[in-house]
Amino acid sequence: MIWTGILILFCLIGLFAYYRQLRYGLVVTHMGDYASWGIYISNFVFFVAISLVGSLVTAIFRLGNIHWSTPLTRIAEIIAVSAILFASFIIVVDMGRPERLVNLFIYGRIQSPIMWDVIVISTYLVISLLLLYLPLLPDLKILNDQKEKGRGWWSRIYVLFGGFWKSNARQERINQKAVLILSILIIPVAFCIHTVTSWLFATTYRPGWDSTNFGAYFVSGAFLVGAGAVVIAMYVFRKVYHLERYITETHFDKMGKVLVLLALIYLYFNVNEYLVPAFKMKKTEEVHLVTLFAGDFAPMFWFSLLAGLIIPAVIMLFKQGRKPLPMFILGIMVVVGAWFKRYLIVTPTLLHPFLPMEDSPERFKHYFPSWEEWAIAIGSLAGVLLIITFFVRIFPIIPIQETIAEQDATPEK
Amino acid sequence: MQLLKNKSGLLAILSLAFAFSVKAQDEATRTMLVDISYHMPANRVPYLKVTAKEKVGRNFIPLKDIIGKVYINEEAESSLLEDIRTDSKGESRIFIPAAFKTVWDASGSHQFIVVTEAGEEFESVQSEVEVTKAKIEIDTVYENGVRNIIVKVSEQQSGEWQPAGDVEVKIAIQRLLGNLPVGEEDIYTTDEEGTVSVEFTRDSLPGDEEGNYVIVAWTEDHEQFGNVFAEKTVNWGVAQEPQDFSSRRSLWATGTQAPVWLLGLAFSIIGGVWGTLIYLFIQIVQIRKLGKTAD
Repeated sequence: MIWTGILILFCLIGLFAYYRQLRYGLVVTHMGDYASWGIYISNFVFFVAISLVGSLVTAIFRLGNIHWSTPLTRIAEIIAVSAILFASFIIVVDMGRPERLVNLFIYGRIQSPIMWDVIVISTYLVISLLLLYLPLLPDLKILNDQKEKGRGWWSRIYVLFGGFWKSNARQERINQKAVLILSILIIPVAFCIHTVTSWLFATTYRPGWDSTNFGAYFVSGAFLVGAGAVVIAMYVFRKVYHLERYITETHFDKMGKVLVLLALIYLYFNVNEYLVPAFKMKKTEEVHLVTLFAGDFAPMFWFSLLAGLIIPAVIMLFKQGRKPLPMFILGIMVVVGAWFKRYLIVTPTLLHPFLPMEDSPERFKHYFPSWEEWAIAIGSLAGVLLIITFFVRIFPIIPIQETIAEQDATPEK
Repeated sequence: MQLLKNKSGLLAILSLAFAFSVKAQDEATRTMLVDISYHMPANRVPYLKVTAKEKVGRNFIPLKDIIGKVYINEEAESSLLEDIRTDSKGESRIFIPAAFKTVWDASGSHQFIVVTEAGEEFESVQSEVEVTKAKIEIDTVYENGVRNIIVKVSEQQSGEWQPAGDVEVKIAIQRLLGNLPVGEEDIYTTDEEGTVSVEFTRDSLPGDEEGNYVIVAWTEDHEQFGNVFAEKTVNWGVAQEPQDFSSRRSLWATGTQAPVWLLGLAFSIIGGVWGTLIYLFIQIVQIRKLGKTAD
């Protein structure tokens, strides 16, 4: 209850800050002519990134016949659904005038990456919801069967969403086929969602964004942060709901290896992203890179790179580093580092335009979010956690039917 | 030896004196340079520009937030035009308020005085400029296949406009990113009649859709007239066909003019994915029906 109360409190503070933004306009933020994308867009990119884990654990592992990940699929999917939902909200918050969203559909240009982003985010949300819902159907029957044992008013929800599931052969066949189709469909859509998000930046000619590497750079980073989030959730659910039988140390060990692989891939793209412009040192790129390496943003840059990427990868190379508690701490480091990394992708570039900053107030030349921006951003993070919290209190976080089937199919060692 | 000792002592005293002198220089109040200039744009209200700067080494550094007052004719409260505060460029502009129309019309020449406030860093500085009202007229003459630009400068004396001779005037053609001199010279000087005539030889310059462009003439920081500006639109240019980018299908056109290949590609992908999703929704309905049939 304390946990839920704290999350609701953060959400309410965020809502109050948003009310102030609607009441007084975007002037309550510290965004200006130059830093016109601030913490909201950093948060948006972070949410989109974290949502990609649904496709990794649910689809890629499923299609690759990797069975150990079965107990983790629902964790990954609920993270994906809640994160992509709040990615959609936060982009509306950034607009300042939410009623103008309708203009995007009236006057929208299919040539614009923003339009592609709207299309692909809504598509990904629907696919993720279906991938969450369809594998849940057999579990809803189990829960329905338990309703006499005092499940309260939640049983109505189980009946509403899964009362028609009788576990007959035809239903199971249709369901398995549908999940298979969704698993195939979500992979290109997942790649599209983050590639398109990266193109929002890369299609503009600015130092730090003018890169052909951006799509792959974003997708690889997204898989890393998503996997980090799953590890955190695994540890918390395992502790709180005593799921040691289902989320075992082997799962942490294997997720650790996956994280090392993803971290190395992301490190490779980071080297590409910074080394090549640093080698050429075009004047505008130089200003941008010096700001990151040794300037105002250097502490945040080195923290995100070292604490969020290199140190976790090195520790997870060792077996002891892949134990539940170290993995939990490393997962937090990866996720926090990833959040700052998104901030570094968005803000420093905006503060270094090609043309000199002239005839503008001094405050436009720097950016630090206002309390309203922080409150809305933290409120949205709390909102994601709140959805996950409510979900796990109503529905089983481990896919019961699938895990039983998996355990039955796996011979005892 | 005694002489050498005396010389060493003298050298030490001189070095000490020099060191104190340098320190004293460092601690001296910084000097601010303030300037006021008069500007008369074409067909607009005249304004005054105050600039405040400081010389540091070989460079002039603009001084921001310098506060002062600008007066007309005399430094008195009744002659105060406006309070000023310089911006980040060290500048402040003021227009002559309508309340001073009677004062303005009463004479052909006026004095403008700026007085800055003394602060911790700078002492109060006063600067002034004496301006005689002047105007520039541009005329064009086409004779024997030759185009000429006639620029006439007049000054106001005893309520009458009189020709202003021996005045340096710049004459140019206004282009998008700057001014193009009309002839070989940058600056021309008016004769006793206050006029200057320039033969125009730039025949093939592009104009707007109708072949128009603007000829401009102005005095620049003239000690008597300040900065007086005039312009005249002439139809001497080559007419340009308007380029209507929005009517062609392109990536930069409006939404309704998107390239056909992009529309085809985008809608094929969207149709394919959403077609599959609709099929899956039908499958869910099928599962529901199967469940009800089983009941």
